[in-house]
Amino acid sequence: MSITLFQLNRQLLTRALTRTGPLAIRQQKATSSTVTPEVANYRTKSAEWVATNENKFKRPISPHIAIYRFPFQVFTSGFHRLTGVMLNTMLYTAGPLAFLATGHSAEILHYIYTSDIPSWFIFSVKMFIALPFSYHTINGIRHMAWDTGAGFEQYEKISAAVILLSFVLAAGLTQL
Amino acid sequence: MIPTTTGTHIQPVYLPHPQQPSIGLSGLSRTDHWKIERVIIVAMLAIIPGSFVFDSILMNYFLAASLAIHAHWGMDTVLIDYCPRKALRLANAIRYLLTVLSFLGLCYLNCNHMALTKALKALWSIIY
Ligand code: HEM
Repeated sequence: MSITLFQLNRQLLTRALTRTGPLAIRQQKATSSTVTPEVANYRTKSAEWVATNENKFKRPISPHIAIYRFPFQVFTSGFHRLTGVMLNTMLYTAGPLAFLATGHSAEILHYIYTSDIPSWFIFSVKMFIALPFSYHTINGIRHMAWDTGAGFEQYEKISAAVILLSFVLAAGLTQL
Repeated sequence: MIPTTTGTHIQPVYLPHPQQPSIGLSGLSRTDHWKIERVIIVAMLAIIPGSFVFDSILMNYFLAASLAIHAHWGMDTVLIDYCPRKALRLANAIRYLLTVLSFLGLCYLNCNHMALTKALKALWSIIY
């Protein structure tokens, strides 16, 4: 484990320093003699950030989200968390509600079956459950591949595949 | 493998792993906890489809347990990352309460012959 972590760190560091790949550090060093408009912009933004938010939180925030350009990684990782919390919210509402529903499940189902719900709404509800689940599951598999040290290459391609697959799986699940 | 440099006096230094403090009530170390978390996730990959295929009471108990524990530990990270320190105790108490309630709720459904997989299948069968 420690060996893979070592390699990962080295890989990330190399990428950051050579400024290629998804994790490249896009900000120029503050000591750089060439101040491009981009760098000037970063400096202003970071100064603003420090002046407002860091004082509010009484601590620096890492990474400096105001001054780095977001890599693609932020979104796929963020969606994993977002979908995890969505699924969790479903569990945390459905679970306790089960106490109220038990014994009435036939009535509830009968009510739903007989009421006139438009099909787009049913499809949306199924998608609302299936899509977070499929994305979280497929990306979760990739998370565990990362844990073994595999799958860091070709980040964007694999992300695209994960997103595509999760839509396909979700669409498939709604049709069951 | 960790590369060793040749031709210089710079060599990697191997430090002993620091003793991991145990966390929570169980006395597990963090690394043990992490490993168990992964084992449960891998198990879920089989349990979730399996419970829908076999649809049995036993599988539904496995499903309820694995969902509850994964969700519980998942929320742990989320709370630590986003919850203000002052509210953390309360939020954590609510997290425990919700996990226990959801697990018991799913078990209750299971005891009353409307297991989670059956309920979801019934909902899913609404096609217009
Ligand atoms: C078999 C399906 C699933 C797999 C493979 C899976 C996988 C994972 C993995 C690997 C993580 C850790 C991410 C990390 O290392 O940062 C995670 C986090 C999480 N999972 Fe799942 N999960 C599954 C289903 C679920 C379900 C059904 C729920 C909700 C009831 C859920 C809720 C969460 C939450 C809340 C987190 C924490 C999010 C975070 O820390 O960013 N997961 N999941």
